[in-house]
Amino acid sequence: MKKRLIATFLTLILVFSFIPSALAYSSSTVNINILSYIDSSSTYKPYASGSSQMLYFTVYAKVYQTKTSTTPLVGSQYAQLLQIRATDQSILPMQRKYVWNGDSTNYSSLDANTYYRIRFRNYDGDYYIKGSVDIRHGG
Amino acid sequence: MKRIFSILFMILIIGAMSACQPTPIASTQSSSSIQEIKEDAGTTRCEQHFELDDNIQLVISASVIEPNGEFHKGNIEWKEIDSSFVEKVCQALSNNSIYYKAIETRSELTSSIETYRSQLDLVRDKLSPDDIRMIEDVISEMQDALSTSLETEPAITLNEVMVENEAKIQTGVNNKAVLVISDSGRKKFIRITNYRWKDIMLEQAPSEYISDEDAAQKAKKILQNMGLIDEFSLAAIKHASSEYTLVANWANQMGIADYPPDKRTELIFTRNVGGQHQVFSQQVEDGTSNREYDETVFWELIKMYFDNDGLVEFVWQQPCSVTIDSKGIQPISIEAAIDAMRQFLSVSQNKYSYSTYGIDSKNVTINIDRIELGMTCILGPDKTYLTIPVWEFYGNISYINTSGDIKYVSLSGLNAGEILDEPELYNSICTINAITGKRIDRTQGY
Repeated sequence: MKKRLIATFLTLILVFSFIPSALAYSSSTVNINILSYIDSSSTYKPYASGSSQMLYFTVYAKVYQTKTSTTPLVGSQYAQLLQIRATDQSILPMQRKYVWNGDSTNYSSLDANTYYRIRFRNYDGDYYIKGSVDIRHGG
Repeated sequence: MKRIFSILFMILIIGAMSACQPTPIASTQSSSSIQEIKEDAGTTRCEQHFELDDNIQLVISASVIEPNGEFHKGNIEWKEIDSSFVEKVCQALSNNSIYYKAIETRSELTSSIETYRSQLDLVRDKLSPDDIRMIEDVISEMQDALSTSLETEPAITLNEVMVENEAKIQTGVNNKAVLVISDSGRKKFIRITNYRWKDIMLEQAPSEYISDEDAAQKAKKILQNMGLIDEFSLAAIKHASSEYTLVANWANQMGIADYPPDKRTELIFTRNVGGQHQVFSQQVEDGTSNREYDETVFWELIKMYFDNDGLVEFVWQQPCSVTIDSKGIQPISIEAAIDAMRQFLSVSQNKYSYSTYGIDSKNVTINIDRIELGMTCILGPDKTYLTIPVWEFYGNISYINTSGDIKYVSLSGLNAGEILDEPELYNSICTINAITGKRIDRTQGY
């Protein structure tokens, strides 16, 4: 009986220790279509991952000739440097690319109590970077 | 003892005098056509070898371009890309004065969708599910656009062009080029791209490089039409090729298809300042990348891309005017410039560029293969922009890897931070202000 109680207790601890991390973050998608830059309309609070306070970004985007065109430009001569920056934080450079197909980057040492606005910047500014960025953030 | 000192002293003097003597130039530079353009430049050679701290070798085996004539200092004013500016550029490149809305027409979209579909069908079983999903997303976006598309582009006024910042203009009998204007943010430009949609998507017409000389002749004509022939000089020639569609691009990269690439010869022009050419390096093209967002500055360039069909793309970036404010500046000598460059390398050794890869400094050589005295643009005090003479040291950083192969560290441009098999063109190792003798940090702009 005692053993069963201990086992149940341990199982509960185990289950509850997983719940916070499983529910520790939410996801939001921001659409981008940038020749210069765009600021996110919302602000985002970091989520806890171990001892770190993180914001995690996953990019799905391509490079286009105009803001309305649907035919992507292909080749390194069209590659653009996408940069992501949270308020008062250093710039997170993605690689110069013409396709971002799930490329990711993150901040890991943010302030748990601060809501951050995110700036998506096309450093080169020659062609439009069009697509979406998934942001993993706190609830 | 005195005799030994005298002999040593004599050897030093002779060595110093023979360091950078004019010798006939062996045109081994891959940018040789640039040198031909700079007809009035006095060209000599410089051969020197130094050992820097940590056993890094600094090898100078360079052509030296030291133009005749006076050098000046000037102030830069950025030009607005307003309607009269746009009109002037479009008139030089279009065969009528009509502007059209920048839409993808029904036939353009249909041909794009057909091409993407047929290419995807051929390689579908060899692509990953993620890749297929992305291609299908592209096709789906095109199909969405197709549902509201028009047969032809409606004509619009120049005022509407300036509001939309994009349009199409007629550049050939069947072709309309896409015009894009950026007059906000850090990089102002006007770009006209002749996409040759029908040739590319329906007839799969491959484009070919044209010779550098042909491209230079065609570019000269365009500059003449625009009244700019005396204001700009050819600064760089590059070659680029890529596939037309994402499917072709991925299939070629994976070696499962052999789609013909779009080949282009790129010419880059810079503004003459007080009769002198500007130096051009990849770092100049990259702009002041280390600065904060609002302070980042790009410099004026005109870029033209040609293939066997003619002008493919025209870009005028950061148009400006220059006012000369002081005349007859005497630049420092090449010896003083080399000394300043060597002092800078002794301190920095461009260490950041190779130490991150764990490359032993004993295996590193900094190669200088071209030295040029010319004008450049820098940031001045109080948000001013200046042009000054500089000594530009072009070259690369190489090292011998564990297999004994020579590799190169990419310092700028598209491949920045990568290890390459071949040295990159137009790469600056060091820029020395030819007035003050101080090193200019291109990423900071001064």
